[in-house]
Amino acid sequence: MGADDADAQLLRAHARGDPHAFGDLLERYRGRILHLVRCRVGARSVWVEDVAQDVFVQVHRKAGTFEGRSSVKTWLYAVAINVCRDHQRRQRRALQAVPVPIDAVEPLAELPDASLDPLERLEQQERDRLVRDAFETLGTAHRTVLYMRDHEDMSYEQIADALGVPVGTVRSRLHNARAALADALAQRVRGLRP
Amino acid sequence: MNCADAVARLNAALDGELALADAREVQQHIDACDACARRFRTLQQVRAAVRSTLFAPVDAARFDAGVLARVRQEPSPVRISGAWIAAAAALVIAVSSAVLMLQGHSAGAQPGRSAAPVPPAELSELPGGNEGRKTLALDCGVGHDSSCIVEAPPGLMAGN
Repeated sequence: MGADDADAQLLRAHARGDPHAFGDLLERYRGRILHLVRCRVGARSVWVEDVAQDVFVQVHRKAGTFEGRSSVKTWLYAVAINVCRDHQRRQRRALQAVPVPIDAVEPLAELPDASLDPLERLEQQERDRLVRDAFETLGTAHRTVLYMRDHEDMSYEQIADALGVPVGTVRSRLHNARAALADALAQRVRGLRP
Repeated sequence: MNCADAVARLNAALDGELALADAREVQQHIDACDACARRFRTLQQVRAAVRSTLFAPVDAARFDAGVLARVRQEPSPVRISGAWIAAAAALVIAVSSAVLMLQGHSAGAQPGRSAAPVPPAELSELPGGNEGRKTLALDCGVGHDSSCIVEAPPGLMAGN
């Protein structure tokens, strides 16, 4: 049985009232949902765990509505994205800030002409810190597509489904996200040189 | 293929999202162009960095306890399929129709009672029995005794 089938069985079992299924789903998706929420609200936000818990409460509420049109993973991520959007809307209202349009068409960014080879020579812990710092400099939309594509191996179509945007938007967002991350990493790598 | 075309496709090539013919063209360009080969290598390094980075772990036990405590306060999820909703709606309509027909029949059969219909648009407010709630009597066109009583939420009716 594939991971998708197993996930679908768990979700349906929970909807039927199986008392263990939800715990298994939580175990399988806890880390991924937390990462995705960090990408959306920012890793340093004090709301990360609260929002991730909200996601699982929504999954519990909506378990009976899953129809299997997409994989459970894509469905879960769409639920998570909506919960994060609601959270961000509430935050914006609280701060009375002007929303930044993230769906605007961006021109493709230029990739920096810099070697990131020194990254590969760093100790894992130091590299993680450096990459996380660089990652945090990106905007929400860019962090999200990078996480979904490079950490979760989701196809462009799956990402588009989860985010509710066209595939072309995923394509350009990913291009710009990698260009921006390459730039941020290159700056940090230059800072490492004696 | 020129550099601009190649640059626009490098990410999709890296992610295996190009059609075979396009992927081949991009590869041929990378093989012949040092600048685009460097760009492609940068993208590979960025992807490898994101892939291999361990993001901050979380206290799983505390997190799960928080989720489960909140889920326990929720009602159980009930799977309601479209077929069940349709069947339930059909049942409600059938029962309502039967009740209305029976009421209309009994009203018409009572001697000395007027069966003259109330004008269809008539909408009258009845004395409200519940605090904060008011009722509307809507003529259903069946008979004087067969008005449909519906509750209106507070604030909906004029003067409420």
